[in-house]
Amino acid sequence: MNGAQLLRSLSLREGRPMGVHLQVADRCNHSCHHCYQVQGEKGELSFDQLCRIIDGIADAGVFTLNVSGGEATLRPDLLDILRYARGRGFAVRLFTNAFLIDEAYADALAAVGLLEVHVSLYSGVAEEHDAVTRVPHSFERTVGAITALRRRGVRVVLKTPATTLSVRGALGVEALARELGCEHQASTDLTMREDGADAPWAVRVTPEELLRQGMLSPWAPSADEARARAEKLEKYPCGVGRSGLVVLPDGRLQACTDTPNILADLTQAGLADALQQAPERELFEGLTWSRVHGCRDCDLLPACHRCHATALREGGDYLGPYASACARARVRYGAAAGSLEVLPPSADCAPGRDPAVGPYAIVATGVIRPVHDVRTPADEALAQRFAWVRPPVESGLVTLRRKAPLQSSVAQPSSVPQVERV
Amino acid sequence: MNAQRTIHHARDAVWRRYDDQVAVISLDANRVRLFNAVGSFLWERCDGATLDSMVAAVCERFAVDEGTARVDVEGFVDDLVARGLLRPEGGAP
Repeated sequence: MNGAQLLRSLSLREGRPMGVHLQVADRCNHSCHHCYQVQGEKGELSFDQLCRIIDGIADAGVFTLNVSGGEATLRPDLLDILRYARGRGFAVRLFTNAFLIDEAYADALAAVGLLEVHVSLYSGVAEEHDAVTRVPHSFERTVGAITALRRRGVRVVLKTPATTLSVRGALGVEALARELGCEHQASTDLTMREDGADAPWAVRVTPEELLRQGMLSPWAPSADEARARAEKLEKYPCGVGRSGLVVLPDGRLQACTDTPNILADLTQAGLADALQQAPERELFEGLTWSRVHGCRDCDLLPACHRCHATALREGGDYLGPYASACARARVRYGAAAGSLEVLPPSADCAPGRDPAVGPYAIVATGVIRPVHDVRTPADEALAQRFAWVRPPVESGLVTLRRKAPLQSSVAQPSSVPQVERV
Repeated sequence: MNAQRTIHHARDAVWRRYDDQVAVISLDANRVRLFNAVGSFLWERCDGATLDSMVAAVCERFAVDEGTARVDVEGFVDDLVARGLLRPEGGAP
């Protein structure tokens, strides 16, 4: 168990979040093609309001505070916010594009004492990075800032989501990260925009291309597949509602950046009370793979990664399988098997069963069959209690269009502190 | 270490209590340390304390003689000072 896992486990045991993302700015100086945010509509809190929210998060026993935006450095009082958070005993990360960080700003950030600065860098090729941000010379400015931070001993994590605009990106950034002494986290996460628009998906990389780039790996059932499945069923697909809590720039609390329901207004209540009173707490605390119908019965489960919010927006069911995740699992299995044949759905499936969505049974090496997606009374009760997890199609709350080819999200490991037991 | 010097949590040490255990992360080293019950007890009491007062607190809370407690407390403090999680202040080294 690494340090992050240990802290998550301790936090989960006590029913409190390990970390919270605090979005302090509702604006950005970049205009990235894949961005999930809609900015300029939520509004921003004052420094005093943010301090009260930070107090509430500290009182809830949260360990890490990730300060982000929009672009957090656009706030003139960002350094004061970071200092205040450090004063309340948080391990603080700053998420930024670093465009505005010059030598003096790097001095100030180093003096604050941050756990890490996470910087988005989309490619090792300047033109590709600038094409994603749509800001000329952004690569040059960002790399200059990273260099300035590293010179001052600030730990920097470079983050690179894969996009079609930066196909040579991951490898280039990885080399740059080594050169600058930074950690590198590549991801294949691209989620829909907050308003439900699927514009970010216009630059999604196909599973086949991710495989070619080494960002997806082949997968084959293990010798002890039953055990692998059992272990995965007990795991959480992501940190939604636990380590992924997000405070929006106006103080509203979400379970993660992409899950669209509002849990509370933290300008009105402290975090601990808000979580205690949120009915969704029960949902998120139990949201292991075993709660995801279809996926839990799929033979490709161990190959699968999912984002519940993408499942909701793509397939209309927060707790069900969805096409882009299934596509990636199929590609991983097909790569290991050498080829993949998808048979017609099993006889117990409803007419019109979509073969692009699991669950699947492996009937022979490289041969899978779509099988019935079993929904239990407990699944139905959950969907009734939390109506937003499976909204009626006619409500217009979800987009049911499917785009092909699709891809899902992969949870990348966060930076992992080592553990010492004393 | 001089028993009259005070001990303080280092600025880079971030910690939280979880039930009967304290977890501390060193921002500088990015390492998590998990203390047992005695270590957690000491950690929570050492910010601004002297070695003598920590030894007294341990003797009061746990069934241990002063000599043993002093050795354990000194070892605990020295180790964490060396790791940058505690810093001594005042008095001669």
